[in-house]
Amino acid sequence: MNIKEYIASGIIESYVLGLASEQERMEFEQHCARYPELLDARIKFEQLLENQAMEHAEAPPVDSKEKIWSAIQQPWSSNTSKIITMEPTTTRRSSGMRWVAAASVILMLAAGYFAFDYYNKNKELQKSNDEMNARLNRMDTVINKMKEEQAVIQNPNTTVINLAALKESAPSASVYWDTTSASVYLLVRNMPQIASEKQYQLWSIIDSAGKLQPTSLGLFDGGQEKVMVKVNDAQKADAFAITIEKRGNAGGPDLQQLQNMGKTKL
Amino acid sequence: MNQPPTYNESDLVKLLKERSEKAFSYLYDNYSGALYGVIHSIITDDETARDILQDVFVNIWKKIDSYDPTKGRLFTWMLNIARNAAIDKLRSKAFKEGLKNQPISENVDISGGSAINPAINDVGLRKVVSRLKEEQRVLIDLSYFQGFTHEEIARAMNMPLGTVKTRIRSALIQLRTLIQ
Repeated sequence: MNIKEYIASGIIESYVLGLASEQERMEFEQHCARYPELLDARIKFEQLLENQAMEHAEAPPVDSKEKIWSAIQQPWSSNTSKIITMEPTTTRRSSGMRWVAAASVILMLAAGYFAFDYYNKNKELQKSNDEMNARLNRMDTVINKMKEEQAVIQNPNTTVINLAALKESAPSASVYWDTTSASVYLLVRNMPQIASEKQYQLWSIIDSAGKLQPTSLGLFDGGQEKVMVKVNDAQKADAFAITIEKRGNAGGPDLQQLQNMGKTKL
Repeated sequence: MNQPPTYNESDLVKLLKERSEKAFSYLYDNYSGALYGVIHSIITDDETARDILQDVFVNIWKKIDSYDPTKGRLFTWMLNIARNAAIDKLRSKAFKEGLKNQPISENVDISGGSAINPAINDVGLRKVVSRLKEEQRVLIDLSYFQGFTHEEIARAMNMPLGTVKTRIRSALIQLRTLIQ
């Protein structure tokens, strides 16, 4: 679209003066959001029109303002319409305590109404605010966890160790091991479902002169598509292994149930 | 009397949306004259014009939440409320007097559009419009001051809709140069 031609087409005047069709209006508003020079030209014409109207202003009748005020104040004090005719916000005829008293009653009613209205609105806002905060916190937790995992995976100190499947049914598993911070992330895919009293267990194994010393790095459930386990204490390991153990196993590994294993050094 | 405060437009709108009576009072003091002039350029009768002005300000107070600053300046919004209210009145009055049943082409033929409201004040924007060429003046009068749609004008003047649209557009461009 040629924006210069569009600006000069009379659409601005037509829009501002309220003569444009519904479709023209919608198009114009979209173009205004996209072309700053169109918006500038619109504002310029509006300003021109305003100045013109201001120059040709005519003083309205003096009592107009007062009538408008009482019309505005009617809707929410219609149940006190008997006294409303005294016009609460003007002290025009405030001669004597009677008027003052009546005015203060109305002011109190008005204040009460507004307080009530604000209280309700405030309560609603508070509620939606709390909900938003809770959501934000949940998102933060998720994002922080993802960032942490991402950091480990991308860290040059991180070694990836594939844990070879030792049984046909064993899942495909990798360990991301950061030797400098001793963090271990275990990434396991497609872990087969196992009996509910059983759990998978990840071990780090240290080869101490031919004697294998296993240390548990944590238990996790089967049947999940993807698991990431974070372990903080695995500075030294010669191998990682996964076994199937009884749920909550506190003893050593059952090597008969060795599912996966991978050495850290070849 | 205290010196009235001055506001910039976005502050004023914010206060109005919060139903600040002080801001509304300021709005009235500053703009009622301009809006009254606009209404008067459509409705000659003082009393009717005053009633419309009151309705307009009551509506501004009630509808301020629907004002969207991205679509136009506050004054433009108020101006359109005022114009629409005046035209509604004009057309309902015309209806009451049985004028609405008259084809508008007659009015156009006779005196270039003002026949429906013959004693109209030549003030404000109307004064500028009166400096347009006859043909353009008629079109602006019918569309802006009498609120006829482009379709209605096309039908009444026996002109293709596209032609009406183009001619009104060029009349508006001309009008703009006259205001400047």
